[in-house]
Amino acid sequence: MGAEQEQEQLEKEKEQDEDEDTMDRGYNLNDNVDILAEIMARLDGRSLAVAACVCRLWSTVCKQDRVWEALCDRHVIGGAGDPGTRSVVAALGGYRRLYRLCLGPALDRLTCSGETTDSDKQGWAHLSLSLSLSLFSIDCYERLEGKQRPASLLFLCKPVNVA
Amino acid sequence: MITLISSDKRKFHVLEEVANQSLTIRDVIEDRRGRRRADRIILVTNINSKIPEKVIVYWLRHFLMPEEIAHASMSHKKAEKLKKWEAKFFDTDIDTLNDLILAADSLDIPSLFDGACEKVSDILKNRSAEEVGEISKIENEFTHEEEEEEIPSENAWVWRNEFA
Repeated sequence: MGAEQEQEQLEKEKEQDEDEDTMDRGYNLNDNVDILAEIMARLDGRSLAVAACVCRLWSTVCKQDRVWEALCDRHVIGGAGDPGTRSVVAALGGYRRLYRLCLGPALDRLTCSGETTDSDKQGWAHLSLSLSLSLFSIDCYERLEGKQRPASLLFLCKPVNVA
Repeated sequence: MITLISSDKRKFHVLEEVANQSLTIRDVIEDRRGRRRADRIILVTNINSKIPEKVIVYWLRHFLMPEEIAHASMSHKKAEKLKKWEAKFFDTDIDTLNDLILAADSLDIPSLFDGACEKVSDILKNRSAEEVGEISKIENEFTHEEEEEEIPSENAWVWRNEFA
């Protein structure tokens, strides 16, 4: 009887040890890819590119277009989640490309250009996205392998009155 | 009253109205309505006891100030106060934040999930890849060659800074 009790005690302790082990390890960021993507979607462009160098899983997650979509959407006022914008961007190469080629540099310039008020910033951010989208389309157009490619872009060489 | 039981068998008694902020719990209660009292016990097996405590604190604070009302009629001062409280609430180590995210995900509490994800991403912002790996306890399994060649070229636009 005594031996049996001892055995039970030992088994219980063993179970507890195992419980503690799993508890100690805790939850790791890499355990759930969807949650990881949610966190990545809240990073800024630069930190996102750094995160891509952390490990293979992060690199894969950082390449997902939805992460970049969330990033781009944060810089748009009113246009977030618009299916029209999404299909255009997807057709032109995806949000990651859009950010890398156009939106990121535009935002960089805006932050470098120094002191602006908050309302200014919002206005600029909105403009910067429209501008990025235009540049993005032009970039895609230029990469097209077609016959009439360069000629029709000549209008860009002339100064345009935006006022 | 609802009883939550954590993975280390601790019990937490919460008012139904408060626990309803978890969409998962709300659905479970709705499913079990009108049945025996024992059915008001909910196991939250994937989280340890430290987390339900925090989650319940969060619930109570938000229960006093429901978000729908908050947005419509909350004064600026009160909004600031809630913001400050949340900043303090989320000012914790990354392990706790990770557990909170997991709990918020499984219990379906959108505002808690957003808040915790936001905080984790804030922690990861503006750091080097090594620092990020260290903070999140993730080993870099890239080989040396990959690190030298493939990765920087893929993300070259970050390091160039040619638009500055």
